[in-house]
Parts: sequence; C-alpha cells; structure tokens
Amino acid sequence: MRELQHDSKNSWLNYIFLIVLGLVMVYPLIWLFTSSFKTNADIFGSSRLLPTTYVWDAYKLGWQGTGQYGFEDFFINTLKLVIPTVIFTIVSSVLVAYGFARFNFPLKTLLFSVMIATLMLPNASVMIPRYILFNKLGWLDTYLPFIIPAAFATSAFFIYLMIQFIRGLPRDLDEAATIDGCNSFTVLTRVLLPLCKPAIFSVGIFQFMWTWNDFFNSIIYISSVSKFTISLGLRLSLDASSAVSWNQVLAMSVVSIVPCVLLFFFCQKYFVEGISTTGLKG
Amino acid sequence: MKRNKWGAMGLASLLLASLLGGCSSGKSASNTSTNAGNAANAEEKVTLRFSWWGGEDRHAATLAAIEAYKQVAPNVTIEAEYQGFDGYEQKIKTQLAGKTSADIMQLDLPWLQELTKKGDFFVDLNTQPEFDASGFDQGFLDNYGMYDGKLAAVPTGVNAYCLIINKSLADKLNVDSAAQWTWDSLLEAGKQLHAQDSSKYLLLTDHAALRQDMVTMLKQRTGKQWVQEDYTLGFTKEDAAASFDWLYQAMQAGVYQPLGESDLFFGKIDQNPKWINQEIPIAPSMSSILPSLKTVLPEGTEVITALPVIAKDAKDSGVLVRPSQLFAVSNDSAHKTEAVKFLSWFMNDPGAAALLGDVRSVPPVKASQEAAVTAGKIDAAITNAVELGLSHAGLVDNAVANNSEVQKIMDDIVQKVSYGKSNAEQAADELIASLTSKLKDLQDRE
Repeated sequence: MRELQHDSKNSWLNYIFLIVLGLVMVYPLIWLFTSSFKTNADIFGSSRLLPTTYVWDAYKLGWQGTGQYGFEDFFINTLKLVIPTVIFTIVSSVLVAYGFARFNFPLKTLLFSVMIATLMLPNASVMIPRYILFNKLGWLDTYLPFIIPAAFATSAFFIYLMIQFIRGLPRDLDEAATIDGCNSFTVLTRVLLPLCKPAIFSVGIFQFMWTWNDFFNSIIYISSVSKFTISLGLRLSLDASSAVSWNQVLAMSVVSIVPCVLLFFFCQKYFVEGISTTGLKG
Repeated sequence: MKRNKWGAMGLASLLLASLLGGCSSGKSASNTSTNAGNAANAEEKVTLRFSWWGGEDRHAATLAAIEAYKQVAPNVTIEAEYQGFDGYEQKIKTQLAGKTSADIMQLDLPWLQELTKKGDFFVDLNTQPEFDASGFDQGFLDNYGMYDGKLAAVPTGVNAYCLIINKSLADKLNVDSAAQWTWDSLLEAGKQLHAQDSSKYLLLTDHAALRQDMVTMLKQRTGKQWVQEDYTLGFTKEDAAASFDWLYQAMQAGVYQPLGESDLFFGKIDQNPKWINQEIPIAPSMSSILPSLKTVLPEGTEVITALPVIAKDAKDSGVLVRPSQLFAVSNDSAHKTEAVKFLSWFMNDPGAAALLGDVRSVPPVKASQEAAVTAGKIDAAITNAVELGLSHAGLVDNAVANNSEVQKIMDDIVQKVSYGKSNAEQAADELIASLTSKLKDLQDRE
C-alpha cells in the first residue's frame, strides 16, 4: 500500500515536471500567437504575454499582403511547390533505397559511398554550380529546381533513412513472396511498402516541413513575386530602414505553421514509430 | 574495401572537375546572346526586370511609379522583383555570377567595391546618352558612383548621419533638443541625466554606432582620414587615446546604456525597449532609420533631427553623408538603352518623385527632391537631417577605411573599452599595433 502511494506521488511529480517543461517548449508559439494582436510598441517594449491594446485586423491586413500579391497566392504557390516535391521524394527515395538494401550490383559500395558523400557536402559549396546548371536548363524562376531533383532521389538523407529501415525487415519475407510468385518489383509494392509505412511517413513529413520552411533556396531560384512561397512572402517587407507592421508578420507566421502542425498531428503515430525504429536490427 | 575508397575519391574528383568545367564554359555562351539583344528596335515590346529590397512603403510606392511609367513608355513592361533585405545580397551575387540578374537593380554601397573589382557587371552610365546625370551633385556621384573611372551606379537617395531626437521626451527630461553638441557638453548632459534617474540614458547605441563615433572623433581631431589611402594611419597615439578616454568616461558615467544591454539590438536599434519605453531621448544614427525609430513610439510623439556632435576645434566636421542605396544597370541586360531610359525617368521625373517620396531617403536630384517635398511625401525631419549633413559634410571615407577587416579591429577595441576591459592607453596601443599589421597585410594582398 505504501509503495503504491509512493508511486502515485512520484508520477504526479513527473507530470508536473513534464507540464512545466512542455509549457517552456510551447511558450514561443504562445507568444507568437498573442503577439499577433499587439502593437509594435507592445511587441518590443514589454515582456508581457498579453497585449495592452488589442489589434484585431492583423490577420486580415496581413493576408492581403503588400503590393500586388497576397498570402492566398503565396499559399497556393507553396502547395504547388511542396506537394510534387514530397511525392517525388518519397517515390524516388524508396526505389533507390530498395536497390541499395536488397540487391547486389557492380560498384555498389562505390555508389553508396558517393551517395553518402553528397550528404557531407556543405550546401554553400554547391550553390553556385547548381544555380548555373539550372540556369542553363532554363529552370530559373520556376519550381523545377525543387521538383526535378526530388524525382531523382537527390536527398541522401532520406535514402539512407529508408535503407536502414528496409535492412531491418527480414529477408525471409521477400523469399516467401518470391515463392508465392512475386517478382522483384511486386516484392517491393506488395510486401515491403506496407511494412515501410512508418519510414515513408517520416520521409514525407520531414520533406514537407523542410520544403515548406525553406527560405534560402527559394529566394535564390525564384525571382518573380507572383511565384513567391510563404517563407519568402513573410520576409517580403522586412527592412531595417522602414516601418514594419510586426503584428501582421507574426499573424501570417501563425497561419503558415498551421499546415505543418496539422500534418504532424495527423501523422504523429506513424512519424514517431518511424524515427524510433529505423536502424533497429531484426 | 580499400580499393573502393580510392575509387570513390577518384569519382568524386571527376565530378568536381566536370562541375568546374561547366562553370567556365558558361560565360562565353551567354555573352554572345546578349550582344544580339542590344540591336533591339525601340518600338518593339520590351520587358525589363527591376529588383529591389525594402519594406511595405517602398514596395507600394515603387510599384505605383512602375505603373505610371506605362504612360511614358507603353511598349515597356517592367517586372518588379521585390523582397525584404534578408537573402537579397546572396541572391544578387548569385544572379550576377550566373548572368541572370535583373536589368535594373538596387545595391548597397558596401557591395559595390567588391563587385566592381570582380567583374564588369554594370553599365557605365556616363557612356549612355539616355541617362541624365545633370541633376545629381557631381561630387556625390564621383565619391560613391564612380569605380575605375566608370559611373557604375547612381545613388537612390541621400542619407546623412544625424541625431534623431525624441523631442517630447527630451523636453520632459530637460535635455536641450536644439543644442549643437560638443563631446564635452554631451558627456556632461549624459552624466547629469543618468545621475538624476538611473534608468535613463542620453544616447541610444550599438557597437557600430560607437565605432562611427570614434572614427568621427579622430577625423575631427586630425582633419584627415583615420586610415589613409596609402595604407598608413591618419592619427597618432595621443589622438586615439583621447578619443578612447572620452568613450571610457561616457560609458562609466552612463551617457550610453551599457553595451551588454544595447548590443542585443545591434543593427536594429529601433527594437531596443529603452527607446520604445521612452527612457532614451537621442539616437545618433543615419537619417534613413528615422521612420522605423518613429513608428515604435506612441502616436503624437515629436521626433526631430539635429546635426551630429562636432568638437569645438574640429579640423573636419566628420559628418557622414552617403547614398542610402544605389541603382545599377546590368551589363548583361538585353535592353540596356530601355533600362537606362527607365532609370533616368525614375530618378529625374518630378511625377515619379512625387509618387516615391522618401521611400529611398531624400532624392539626390534637387528637382525631384522639391517635387517630393511639394507633394508632402518627405518627413521634414529627414529633409532637415540631409540638408544639415550636406552643408556640413565631412571627409568621404576611402575604400581602405571602409574595409570590413579594418572596421572589425576598431569594433573589437571599442567593445573592449566599452566593457571596461581595457583603458584608453592600452586601447590606443592595441589599435595602432593591430591596424599597422592588418594594413600591411592588406597592402601585400593588393
């Protein structure tokens, strides 16, 4: 009896600790949300969470945007960019990972090390050559520099993640499927893919969030404001020498993280499973 | 296994070599295509790209001006490429390297030195009969637009170093907002203010502004550049020690907010809570920062400008006047003539000036400035700062003094003094020693 009491007291402490820690983690988001109703003077002048004077039109004005294009355009643009990129990344990474994980072919080790080597390449060093390449292909100011490379499995990180996951699936399943009449492609589609679901979700969610939030590549490749994505739209009016309506910027930041948060919540079950089981043998 | 590793390295270097090869062959191909474009007929439909960075007001005003240009030249369509400051520098530099830059682009002064050295990116506007430079101040153009004898860029506006004063607060604190400050009177007033109320400081600052103050002080003492074009120093140890001594005293006396607090807002002094909560009345800064400093204050607060601090026996005023940004026309543009025509209209036309107002600070062309003032589009405080600046303009900084490595040395020492980590004597010794070796280094690299 005494032991039980001790246990429940302990778990209460645990909960309190976790709640406090959780609040600390979420605080920036709460601040972001409440600050979207503040005036500039409030945002920078005080550290209070709640506004002293409420500004209600930040969402409406922010959504209209500056100049010719508003956030409706930026949202549609971002979806046009992100959805194909995510789908192509998943398809291509799974195919390439399947090849590396299950087959033996000439120069396999060499190709694998080249693939891993691209993971180590700093982004800054390939930026200019890549820009010149895409320029020659006539892809600048379109979304092709994001979509086409995704279709050719250029993100080594995702391939590696998938390889590790597929390696963890027993080969016996493949063999059983082969005996039942599957060829090498249907082994992938009918047997391995359903088992890979957690890893596929991880790849999808990661790629979605990274592409959604990506600022630097977008600013380099996209120059027309009509094609701007959300991350570019948010910084459209930030400049040291002019007045910035920070509440509008923050309001749009709140709106722009909604899709990422929703996606994460809906796929949370698979996602957590995905990153915690990759790399586990057997 | 071992062999495979070597194979991988071989392949990697092969890939690298092919990438490099790809870059170098790219140049010749795009050169020929632009030459063909130059012969374009004037009446033909032309599309120009115009890129700039800025905030909401600048975007709206510039888009309005572009719209108005449709009446002037119906055959020209101008595609606007605008964004915030983040990433703009990287984008422009990548575009210039890839020969895909906009036809007309807004540039920042510190980039031009580097860009004009690395390649022939910009049209020499002096060779373009379509460009009317007569309205510009010739000295201003020579100082900031000419590189290697070519007019590579023109200033978009004039920006002057000044004191931005929260007059409402200054009156309340009994700080004389009409005073012409000297270093001594400033120190005295700051000391008094902080002694009365320890939460108040006289001056808003960050380490870049302090560096600017030290450089100004040296210029005023010597009447020379602090770093000369021939890579020698323009000041003696006594000059430096006296300047640092002033800074040390000012910091100790609470003329400035302690740097540890104020430097959190380095480059964005308008976000400093002490300014927003009206505990600091004066911000020594460039005049273009005024709108952002004003917008964080409550409605109805009076903000004025005044001439920056000038020592009583100054040999040079040391007042800094520089372009807010610059415009250049790309050498790779397929329609240079049309681009130059547009730029000339944008800078000189009174109608354009009335639309643009002070979104790029006070226009450098006198006629445009008058048009904008008449249209009521320029904050009187900014005009005042620029006029004061122009009439008291000091020496123009040379390229060596603007070198970022040289400035970094001054930055470091200013911070040491401000944090009380080194006294005036030590700081002066260190400044001279570090500068001498850095300048020698720079000279050898030339």
